[in-house]
Amino acid sequence: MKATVFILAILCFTSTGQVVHAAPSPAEFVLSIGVRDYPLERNALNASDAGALVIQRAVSTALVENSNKTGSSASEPDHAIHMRLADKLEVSADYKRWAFRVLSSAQHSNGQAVDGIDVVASVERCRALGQLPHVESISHRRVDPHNGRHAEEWVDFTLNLPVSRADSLPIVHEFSNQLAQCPIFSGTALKGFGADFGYAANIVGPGDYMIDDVRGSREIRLTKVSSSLAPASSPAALILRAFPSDSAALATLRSGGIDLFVGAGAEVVALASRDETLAIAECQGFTVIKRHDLQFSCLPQLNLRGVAYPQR
Amino acid sequence: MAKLFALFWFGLGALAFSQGVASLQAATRSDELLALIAEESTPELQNGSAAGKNPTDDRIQEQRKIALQNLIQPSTSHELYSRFSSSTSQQTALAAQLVLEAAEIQTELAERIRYMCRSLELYEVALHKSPFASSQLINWVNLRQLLGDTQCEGQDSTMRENTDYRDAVALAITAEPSNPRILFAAGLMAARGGDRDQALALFNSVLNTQVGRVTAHESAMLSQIQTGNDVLRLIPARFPQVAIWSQLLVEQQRREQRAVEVLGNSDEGSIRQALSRLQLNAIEASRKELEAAEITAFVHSDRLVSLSTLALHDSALILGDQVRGAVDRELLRLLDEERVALNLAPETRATITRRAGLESIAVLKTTLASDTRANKSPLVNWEVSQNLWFDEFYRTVGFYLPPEASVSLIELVGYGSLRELSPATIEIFGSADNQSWEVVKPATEILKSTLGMSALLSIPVAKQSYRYWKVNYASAARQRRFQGELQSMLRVYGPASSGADPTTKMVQREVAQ
Repeated sequence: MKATVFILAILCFTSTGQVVHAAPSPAEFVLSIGVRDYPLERNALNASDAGALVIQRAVSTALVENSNKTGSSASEPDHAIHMRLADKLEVSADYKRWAFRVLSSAQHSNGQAVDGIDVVASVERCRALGQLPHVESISHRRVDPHNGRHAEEWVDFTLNLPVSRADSLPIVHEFSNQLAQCPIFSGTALKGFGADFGYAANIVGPGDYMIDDVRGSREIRLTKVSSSLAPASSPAALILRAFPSDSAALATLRSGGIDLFVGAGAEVVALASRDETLAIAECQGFTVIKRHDLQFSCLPQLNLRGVAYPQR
Repeated sequence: MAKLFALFWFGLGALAFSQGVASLQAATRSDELLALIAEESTPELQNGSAAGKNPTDDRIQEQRKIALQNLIQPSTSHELYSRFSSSTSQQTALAAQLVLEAAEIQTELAERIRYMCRSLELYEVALHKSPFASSQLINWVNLRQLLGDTQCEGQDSTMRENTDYRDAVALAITAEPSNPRILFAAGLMAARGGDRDQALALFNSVLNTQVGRVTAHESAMLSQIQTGNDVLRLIPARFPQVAIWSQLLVEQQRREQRAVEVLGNSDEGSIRQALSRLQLNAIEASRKELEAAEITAFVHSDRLVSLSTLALHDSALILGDQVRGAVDRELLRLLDEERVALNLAPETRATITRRAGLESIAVLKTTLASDTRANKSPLVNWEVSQNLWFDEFYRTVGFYLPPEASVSLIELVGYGSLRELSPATIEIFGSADNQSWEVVKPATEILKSTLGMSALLSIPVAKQSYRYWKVNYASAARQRRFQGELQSMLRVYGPASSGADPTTKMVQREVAQ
């Protein structure tokens, strides 16, 4: 017996149209984010610093996303899963086989459709990094069009689980969380760039943003892709600025040169706490100092779609 | 064969007997209209697309509707024979075709079956008048197979019960062994019956006999291809079929090929390999025709160029490196032998010579519009699929070179004219980090040439191993004379390695066998 789960999540993509990144108009909101030193030699996708976190969240997304709901998830793990790049999930009764249908409208920043090959290549990348230890095998398949429907792309996972269903549940829950941490990228770019994938602008993924410019180790600019379904109030572009010291970043934040500073140290946090134009938040293990009126969301992960100035 | 004929004639005889010698009734108004339609629309109906050929002629359309209504009114077989007793076999067959086309647009299954039954019956009437009309026979068989065991209400089924449709197919093919329409219909029936071997053989006969392209047949034929061997069984190794089907097959196999490239799935016996083998065999066959003086050198070179220019649509997929090299070498051989002026300019010859000994390199590509600071800006938005004009306002096309590869030649291949494009406006840049760019001087002259429909810009560089490369149109002019789709337009070649790609090796082995 298969438990079929239909979960319509936040659908982030459109299905048509040439992706063209355009410079934001003056009225559009450009979010400037300060981080500490950001050497180009660092692979943004493998690193765990604040700058890498922003880039990872901007340029890609996963099949599913983390949920902060706990509720019934211990007994019904499917309920905790929120879809991102998939729109249908079929799980076998013993939880060993998971089949995701890839969202047909999902696109990479370059306009190419996301398909099962991309998902398999991306999951294999995560497995090579030791991030999905419970996956025994993964494969993709295409279901040809019938009855006027479009072709469907499916990805099948087989998990290595204990025999007992009860013993499997914690692992299943862990697996869905790990899957949410595994970003999907273009398989062609992953293969083509090889070990260079993730450096500087060497990224192609289905995120809301694409890297548009890299200026030495000082600044990386990301532009919202036209296929993004992020709300209009979300930033049209992100500028990631690297500072040589926390105090330089704080000074720039106070002068209005940046909107928030991610990864602040304790010393500047203490200074910022006495400045009523600023506010302090925590996000995925980083301390964030932001302008007081900037709306900022980090539950359960950094959500760039939720960053906005409501009063402007 | 005698038994087959006897069986068929028995079917027809029984049908005639059952209707008796009907008294000829006066033709109804609808029959007159039908006759008129048949006379006026014969070419359209015979082409098999009665509905769309003359859509602006309201009179014909109106007559068609009236005739159709009358044709599908309830009537016995006996009455139907009487009504068409004065019509020719061809007119009756046209009426059958009219009803069949109407059947295809019926949304209700019962209605569709009713129309198909009536069409079947009309074909039987036509066959009674002209039993040797192969196309009518094959249409009858086709309909009969489609209807299967469905009983047509109120119709005489003597002919259907007494004639094995497979025998009728054989009869039709025997009567017209090189009629592609008959062969295709027979192939379709074999495919429907699950006999892939027979279907592939018949479709192969279609492609061997058919002059030109019949797009309506292509999807049915393509659906029979499951393995590389099927490619070789279906498509004749000759021109122009190879050129046409290369493109069709690549479109069908795009996803499978991507899985091979991205995930490293097995490519053993793949359709792409078979396609390369087919292309090489076709080149070889054409060369033999040239040697036997069956074709001229001009025709031979034209065929080679047709294959080469196909790659304008999808360079690497349509034409593997091995075949591209074979085409180049064969063209150069023709030029060397100077059998005939091949209408290839000296620049084209030099362009082909440059790349003939090189191996193409798979690179990731991108393009930048208005790249006015080409010595500073990074390459972004990789693998975008975009039609572009190269010769407009600081356009850049660029690529990422895999580690350990080195570039000898960059080619831009597109449509249009290169006449106005000055090599002096082209700047090449290389970078190790996609940040700091250095100007790269062309190793020798940048060549502009044409090959078939394509325009080629050939940029030789000394073996360089920069990781990132840019070709920048360093001018503010917006000439817009030279365009292409990025992924097909930009091609990169390096020195031939001893470890040629597995596809190449496989093809070489197969050809040797």
